[in-house]
Amino acid sequence: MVNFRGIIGFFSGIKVDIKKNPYLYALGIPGFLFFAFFSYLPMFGHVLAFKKYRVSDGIWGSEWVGLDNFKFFFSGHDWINVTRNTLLLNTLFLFMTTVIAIAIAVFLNEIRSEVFKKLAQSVIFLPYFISWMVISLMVFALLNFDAGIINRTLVSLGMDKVEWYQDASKWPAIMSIVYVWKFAGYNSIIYLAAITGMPQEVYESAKVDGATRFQMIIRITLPMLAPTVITLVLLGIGRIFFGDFGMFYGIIGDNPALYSTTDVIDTFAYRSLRQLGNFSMSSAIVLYQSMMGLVTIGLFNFIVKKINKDYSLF
Amino acid sequence: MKKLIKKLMAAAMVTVISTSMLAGCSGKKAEDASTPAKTEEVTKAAENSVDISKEETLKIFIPGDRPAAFDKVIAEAEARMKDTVNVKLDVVFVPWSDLQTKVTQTLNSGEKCDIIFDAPWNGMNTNVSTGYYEPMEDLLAKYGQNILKTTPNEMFEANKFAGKIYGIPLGVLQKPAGAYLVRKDIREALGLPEIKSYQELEKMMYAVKEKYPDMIPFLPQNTAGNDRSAAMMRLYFENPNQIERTEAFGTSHVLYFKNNDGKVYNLFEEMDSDIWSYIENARKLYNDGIIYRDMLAVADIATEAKKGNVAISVKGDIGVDAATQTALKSVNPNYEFETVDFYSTNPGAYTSDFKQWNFVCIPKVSKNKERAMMFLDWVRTDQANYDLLAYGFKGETFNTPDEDSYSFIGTDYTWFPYAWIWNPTQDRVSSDLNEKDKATYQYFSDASNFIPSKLLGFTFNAEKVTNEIAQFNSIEAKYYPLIINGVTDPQQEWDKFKAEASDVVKTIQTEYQAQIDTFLAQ
Repeated sequence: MVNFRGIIGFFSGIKVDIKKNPYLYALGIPGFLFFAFFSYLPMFGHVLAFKKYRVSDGIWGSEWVGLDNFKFFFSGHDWINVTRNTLLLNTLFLFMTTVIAIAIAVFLNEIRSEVFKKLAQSVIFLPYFISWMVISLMVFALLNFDAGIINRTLVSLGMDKVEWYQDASKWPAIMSIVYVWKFAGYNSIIYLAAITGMPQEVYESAKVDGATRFQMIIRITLPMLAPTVITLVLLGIGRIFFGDFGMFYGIIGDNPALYSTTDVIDTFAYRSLRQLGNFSMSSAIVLYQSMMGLVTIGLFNFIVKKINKDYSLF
Repeated sequence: MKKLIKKLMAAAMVTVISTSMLAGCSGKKAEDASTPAKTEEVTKAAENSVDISKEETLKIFIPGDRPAAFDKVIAEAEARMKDTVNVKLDVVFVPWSDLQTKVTQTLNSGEKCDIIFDAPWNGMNTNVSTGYYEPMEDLLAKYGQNILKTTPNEMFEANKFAGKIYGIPLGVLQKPAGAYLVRKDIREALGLPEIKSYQELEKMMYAVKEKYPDMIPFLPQNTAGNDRSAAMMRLYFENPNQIERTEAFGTSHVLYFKNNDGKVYNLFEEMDSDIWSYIENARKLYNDGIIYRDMLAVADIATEAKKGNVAISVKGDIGVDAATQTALKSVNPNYEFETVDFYSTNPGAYTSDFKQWNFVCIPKVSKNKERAMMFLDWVRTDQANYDLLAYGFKGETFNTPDEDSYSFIGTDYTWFPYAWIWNPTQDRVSSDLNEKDKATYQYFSDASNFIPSKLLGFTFNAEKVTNEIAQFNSIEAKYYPLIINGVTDPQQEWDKFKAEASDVVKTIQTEYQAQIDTFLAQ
């Protein structure tokens, strides 16, 4: 039995809300249109994953081949490896960026000199604007075997050079450091905004009760930051099956020696598409990615809901 | 809590709005690229004539970089064609590194495109079997008489795909040629004579390592062309068993032909002893610090060589082109490149299937197929037309020291006829080539020097094994480039490669052999 009254109630509720806050909704229109056209509409393209796509036949006219396009991905060993890499690296990125961004935000908040605070904020924020291609050159300048800054330093300290670009085991750490360096500053600004918005009365009364600054951070700032953190982490988890293509392709490129730990679903799909020009097979991989992403976010949202209903996304 | 949620909502709104603003910026570009074709099909092909009263624009995709004088050249070409073809040329230069992606995307998306460069090493076989290209027989007969005159019939015959012409072969040489790109000034500074054998080349690599510790002694091709890797490069010259790679996997030798016997061999089952010794030699060079440690992290080896810190590198044609030499000399006027090869110039030393490796095609989606063909034909009606597009303006961008040669003046124009118009009749030899390179060039231009392959005219149809090829490609990418450049222990890595890939390779080999057997039985 469908609950029609509930649905009608939902829509009339929205209507009332629109009447109440017309400007807020108007502000959202461009974004709404953006997602409608660039996220919802293209979803019909997923049908390509089940077809043998030819331009001349069009999306709807191409032959239906069922699960044929998934065969190449799932019959090899690579899908396990790239899925594991994508998950592992993204988890690492998400965890480290979150922890360090919170730390930066808290520390920035404790700085009393306004000038230094603004300066520090800007400097930490800067890497966010550097493109992956430029970062890849920086990484190469640091890590190349013969003339890299790190290897030269090692030699001058009497140690042996390291073959960074041949040793896959070191790259999850290197990529995490690079990722944190680029994004932690950006994320910290969001957390800082949340901290700045916290009611000052709570801190004042804590001060009256004799709390130290450290105690205030642990007992007040962090707990009040939790909802923001959870929301951002949940949003991050939604994209946990999507590797940052620009990052991986920019820094790793076509270096087979590093594939075992750094090949993610996106770079794998790109290589297959580039070599074969087969849209359908690539669509199949993307569909797999999207499905897994949906499942994970659903799962985590469910868990969060169990713990505290207010923190969940939906 | 409600307050907090409201705050979060506001934050979310801000994110949404700022994303939509960003999208506004990038959306515009996408719009430009996909502007629907304004031109409509007005050509009323009555028998052999096309109504040329209305001016059309041909969209052309070719690889390379746009030379400085290109716009002027195109304007001149358009003026010359006004009364005969009446087209404007919209030429898009695609960077080499993006070529395969761009070609497949253009064809896949059905974007407006009238003439496009493609090649078997770029996925052309798949593009043909997917049905992206227009068969050219009729167009050539009606509008391409000069194309048929300037490209010998044998060349068309040898370069059919599934029995049909899907692209005009662009080429003069009868077999792909390669060479080592060597820094002449460094060789001379080391007191070494002209290099005549691989052993002498190796000697130079070690001498560079010792005397020039800051230079890269040897930088072979990395992942972009496995046939010019440290090991496989040697097959160009020292190839007693006449090993040729099949068309199944781009530039990989895993499935190969041998001794012109019409059989497909499989490196997993029959490792060729020469290839293995080349691989072991590559490993030794790598371990000795001759092959650049970070070769796999290099984006483009040609760019790296032009910077002046590579002593020996590789390239896929004969002689040093003027642009490369000029680029190096701009770093230091004393620097100089030379090419080193070890070809035998005895007739009958090599077999060839006379397959060209560059083509120009007309996509099915083109609305101006007739005009596209007419333009390509116009180039070949007169040597002056060819010279204009191939070399620019005489006296300004190039000179003709004698009847059959050319030399560029300055760097306003570069050599790229292989991307759209190259043919044996109108080609000029670069006067920058030294005597040895000229001899090699002439040897490779003469079809009678080569033993015709048993598989002359055969093309592999990949359609039945697309899944297997996709699987192989992804497995190969993990192992093969490492093995053939000596980056990892060859035996250990080869065993892993074999364990993962031998099943799919066997399937492809069986299919390939079946198609050959059918072909040979006809």
